[in-house]
Amino acid sequence: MSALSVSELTVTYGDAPAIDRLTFDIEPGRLVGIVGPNGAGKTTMIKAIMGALPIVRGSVEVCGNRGKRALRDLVYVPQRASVDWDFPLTVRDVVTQGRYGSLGLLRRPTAADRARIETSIEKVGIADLADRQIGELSGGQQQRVFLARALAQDGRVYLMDEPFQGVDAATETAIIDVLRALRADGHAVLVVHHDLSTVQAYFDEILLLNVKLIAHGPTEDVFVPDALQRAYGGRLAVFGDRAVVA
Amino acid sequence: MMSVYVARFLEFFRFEYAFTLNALIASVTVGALCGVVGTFLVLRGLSLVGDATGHATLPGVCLGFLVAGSAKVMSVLLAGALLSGFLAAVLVGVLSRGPRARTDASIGVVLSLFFGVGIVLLSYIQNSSTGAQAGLNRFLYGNAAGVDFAQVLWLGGVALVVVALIIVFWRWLVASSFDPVFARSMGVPVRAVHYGLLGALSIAVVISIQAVGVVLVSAMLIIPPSSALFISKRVGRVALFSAAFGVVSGASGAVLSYVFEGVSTGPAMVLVAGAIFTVALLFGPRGGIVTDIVRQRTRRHAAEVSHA
Repeated sequence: MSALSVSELTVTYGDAPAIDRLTFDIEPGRLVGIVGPNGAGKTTMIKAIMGALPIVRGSVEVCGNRGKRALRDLVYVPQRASVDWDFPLTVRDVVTQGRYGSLGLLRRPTAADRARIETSIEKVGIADLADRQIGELSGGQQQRVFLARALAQDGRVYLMDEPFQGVDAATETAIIDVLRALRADGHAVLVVHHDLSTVQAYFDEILLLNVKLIAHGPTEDVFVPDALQRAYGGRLAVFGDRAVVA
Repeated sequence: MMSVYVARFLEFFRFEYAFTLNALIASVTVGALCGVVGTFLVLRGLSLVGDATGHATLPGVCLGFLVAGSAKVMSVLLAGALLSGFLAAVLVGVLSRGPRARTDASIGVVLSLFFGVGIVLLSYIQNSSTGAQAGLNRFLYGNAAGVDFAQVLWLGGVALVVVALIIVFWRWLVASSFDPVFARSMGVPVRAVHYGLLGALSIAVVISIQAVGVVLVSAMLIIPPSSALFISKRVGRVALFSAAFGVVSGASGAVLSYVFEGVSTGPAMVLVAGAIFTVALLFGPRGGIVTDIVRQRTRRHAAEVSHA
C-alpha cells in the first residue's frame, strides 16, 4: 500500500489553477524532494493534501485512509516564517503540541507522551534550549523546534515546507540526518526544496512541479536538464551536471 | 480635604450600601473575564476587533431599550448588545476576507458605522419623553454602581461558564492561535474555534459594558494582556497575570469612582490598567525597558571584570 496516494488533485485561486490534476503515489521509506519554480504550487499542494485548502477536484489517500482518518498519519511542518515567534510558548510547549492530536482536549500527557516529547527535543539537538521562549532562538533552532514537534507527533507521512530555508549549515546537517532516520524507519518524507545544488545528495525521488506535475521518479531520472528546463522555463541555466536558477 | 477621600474609601469597604459591594463584584468579574478573553485577542492580532465589538454594542443596547420601552428590563438591552456586538465581530472578518478592504480599514468601517448608528439612536431616545431619565448614558462610560445584585449573580455565572469553556478548549485555542495550519492538521476545527472566540468576546463585552462602558471596554480586553506579556513567556501564565491585572484594575476603578465623585468607573479602571502597563513596560522581566538596560549593564560589567 502506498504511503501517500494523490489523484487528480486540483486547487484554484480565483479562476486560475494553482495546482492542476496532480496524480502520484509515494511509497513508504522514501525521501522525496518537491521541486519547482516560485508559484509552482508547492506549498499549495502540501496544504491541499493536509485538507487546509478547499480542493476543487481530486482525492488524497494516506496509508489507505481518507479525510479525518488520513490526518492521523500526516505530519505537517510549516514554513518557519508562517508563525509569530514572539508567542509566549517555550520550546517544550511547542513540541508538546505535537501530542495534542492523540491527547485530545483534556487528557493529561502520560509518561510515554512526556518521554516522546523529550526524545524528540533531544533528537534535533536542542535539549539545552527546552525551557527557552521560542523567540529567543536563532532561525536554525526555530526550525529544529518545528522538526521536534513533528517527531513528537509520530505519524507516517511527513510534509515539510522548506525546512532548510535560512538555516545554518549545522542545522541543515542535523535536519537531513533526522529525515534520513525517518526514512530508515519506513516513513515517507516529502520536502519542498529550493536549493537545486543539494537535490541529488538529499533525495531518492523528485516531484517536479509547475502547476502541473512535470515529472516524478527517481532523482537520477527526473533531475536532468531536459525536465528541469520544462519546469523552470528560460529561468534555468544548466552547466554540465549543475543547474542554476536565474 | 484629604480626609474626605479617606473617609469615602473606608465607607466603600464597609459595604453599608449594597451597591458598593455589587459594584466591586461586577468590576472584578469584568476584569477577570476580559483579561482571559483579551489574552487570545492580543495573541491573534485581533485587539481592535475587540474595540469594534465594544463600540458596536451601543446600537443593540438602544434597540433593546426601544423594544423593552425602558432600561429596567436589562436582559433585553443586553441581548441587543450581544447580537449587534457579535454581528460586528463577524462582519469585520467577512469584510477583511473580501477583495477590497484590509483588516484595519474593515475594523474602522464597522466600528464607526455601528457606533454612529448607536449615537443616533441614543440621541433619539434621550430627546423623547420617556427616554430622558433612561440612564442610557452610563453605557457610554460605565457606572458599576448601577448594577444590582440579581445582575451581579447573572453576570458572574455567565463569566464563570465562559472561563470554564476557555479552560476546556485551551489546547485548541493555543494551537490555533500560534499555528492555525498546523492546528488544522491535528484535527482542530480552527474555524469553529475562531467563531467561538468571537462569541466569548461578545459575551465578555456585554458583561462589561454596564461597568466599563462601550467606549472603553476594549481597554480592559487589550491592556491587561499586553502588560502580562512583559511578565511571562508561557501563555497560561500570561492569561493568569492578565486576569489578575484585570481584577486589580476593575476593583480599583470601582473604588476610585466611588471615592472621587463624578468619575465614571470605565475611565477609572482604564487609568489603573494603564498604570500597571507602564510599570510592566519599564520593569517587566520579559523585555521591560529598564530590565533590559540593567541586564545589559550587568553583562558588560561581568565581561569587564573577567577581562581584568
